[in-house]
Amino acid sequence: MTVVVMLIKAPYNRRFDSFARSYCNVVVRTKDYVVYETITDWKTTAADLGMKPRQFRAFCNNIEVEGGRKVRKGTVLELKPYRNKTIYVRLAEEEYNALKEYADDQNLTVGAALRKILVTALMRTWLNAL
Amino acid sequence: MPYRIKMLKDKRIEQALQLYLKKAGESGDFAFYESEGDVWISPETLGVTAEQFLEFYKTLKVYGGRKELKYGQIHIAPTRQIILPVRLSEGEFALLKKNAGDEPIAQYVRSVVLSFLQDYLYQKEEALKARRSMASGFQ
Repeated sequence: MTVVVMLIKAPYNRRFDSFARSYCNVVVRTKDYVVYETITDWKTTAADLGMKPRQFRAFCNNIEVEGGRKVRKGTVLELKPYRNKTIYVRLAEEEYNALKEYADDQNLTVGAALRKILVTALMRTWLNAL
Repeated sequence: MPYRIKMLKDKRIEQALQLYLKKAGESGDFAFYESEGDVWISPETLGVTAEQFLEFYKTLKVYGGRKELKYGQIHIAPTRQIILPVRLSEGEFALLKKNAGDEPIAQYVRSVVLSFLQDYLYQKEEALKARRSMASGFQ
């Protein structure tokens, strides 16, 4: 079964590259740009890349995304694949309370906490399989 | 809230299930137990024949939950009334399906989430205990 991925084409940047490799797989590498593939969303900031806001904006403008979208808010860049599938998880009250406790500790909503747990597990298996 | 299970009083059964169920009371020939999670009971656990196992299943009553015979075992589970939607990308969904394999997706998702939460809460509890014992050591 082929896994549908989001493709990110970005100008080569050493720090961006080392950051991206924690979440993505490199598909194409040339002298000028690198194409990464990933299945889930991730974000980076100007501080992560050691860039000034103006440099960061220019760098973001040169990034192309296929199968998802890029959202830059100030000095934060988020790359998000389209979420067009919905699954429903049924929980008992005790299970919900445990999830809520985790969500409160992480400062997340219950839905976001559930997504985080699931996606982290998926990413682990995906990156291990690469 | 824990759900209640009513079953025929039997010392052997009680001993076999003491790890999974908490006894809540007795009434005549029946005993009441409480549990919070899923419980699986096999004929081997009870040490009974298939026929006796079926009889046991028929007398079993679950309040605030449900019982079913699955894979030759009795599965008792609480009613799951809370439904949470999770939006996934196609890549995430495809990977989820691949990881689940023959298992139904819903069951796989539940097992991933619940085992994570179990580990998380256990570690949190242990950390709290360690902090308490350290604090009491200083006094």
